[in-house]
Amino acid sequence: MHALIHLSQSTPGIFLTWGVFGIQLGNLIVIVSMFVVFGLALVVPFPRGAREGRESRESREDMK
Amino acid sequence: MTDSQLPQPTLEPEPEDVDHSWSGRLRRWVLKVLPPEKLLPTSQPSYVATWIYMFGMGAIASLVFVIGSGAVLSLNGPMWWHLSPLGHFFNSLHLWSVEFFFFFMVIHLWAKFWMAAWRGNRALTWITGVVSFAVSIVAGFTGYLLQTNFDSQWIAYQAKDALNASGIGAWFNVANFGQMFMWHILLLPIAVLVIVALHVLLVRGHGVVPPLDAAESDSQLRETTPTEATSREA
Ligand code: HEM
Repeated sequence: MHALIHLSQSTPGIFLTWGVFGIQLGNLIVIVSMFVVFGLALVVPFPRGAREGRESRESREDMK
Repeated sequence: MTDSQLPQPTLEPEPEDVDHSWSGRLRRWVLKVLPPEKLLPTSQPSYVATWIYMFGMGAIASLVFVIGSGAVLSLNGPMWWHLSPLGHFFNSLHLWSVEFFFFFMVIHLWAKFWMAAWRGNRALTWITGVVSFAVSIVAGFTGYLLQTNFDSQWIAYQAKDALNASGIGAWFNVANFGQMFMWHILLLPIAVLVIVALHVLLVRGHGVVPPLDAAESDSQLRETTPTEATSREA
């Protein structure tokens, strides 16, 4: 445990660079995962409760 | 007895019956802008049933953990959170709740940006969102100053030049640990909570913004736009 804390606090972070652009690996992981979660939130189907299921069926009935 | 002599039914209260005390006026105003059915709704329009609307709530849930873990840290003090395993755990819980708070807040911000969620008189909702983002960044910053290690020293001494250049450094002194501690555990948490409460009350007052193309496709919007409903039927 203490060795782990020591390791995590004493290593200087991994930096990735492409020409003038540079970023720390941890920051890159956070930003990329925010894009992934944003994308998933748009495509993953949302669970519907019993009540909403009934209501949306009713509203589809009205549309007819 | 003529008609005019009969007691007339009074639908509207007489002007003298209206309570002009500040509490009476405030109550009427609150009930007008935020009636109970808007404050605590039991259902939402169908377009809200997607994950993209969950991130504001995600930020609130994370904030609950931020405040809760922060309170536990305050109860026990720095010796505890630096030296005991349980203290380390709560220290980490505090940091990771903050990470999730910003993670959800940023996705929420993107979502509201692409929905143009400031439409329909919701500008103040957007603005309170911007302010909560800014205030949260300052809260996070003061938190990093409290680590009592070389990292926090580095952050403070990098920041001081920018703050001094802006003039605010004479009063908001990042090298003053006591002052930064008070900002972090008292003033900024209060500010974040107040602004988030205002933000959520504004969302409740206005209702969730309809999607950009909903006026065309959503059956629930037909009631609110009678002219369109009649034009569609015709
Ligand atoms: C402290 C961080 C924040 C919290 C806790 C928070 C919370 C919420 C919640 C719970 C909602 C309603 C549900 C939803 O759509 O997610 C909401 C709506 C909204 N938020 Fe935030 N928010 C925060 C930051 C922001 C930021 C940074 C912005 C943009 C700059 C923003 C803009 C909006 C807007 C415009 C709405 C209204 C959407 C509508 O009317 O449908 N919020 N917020």
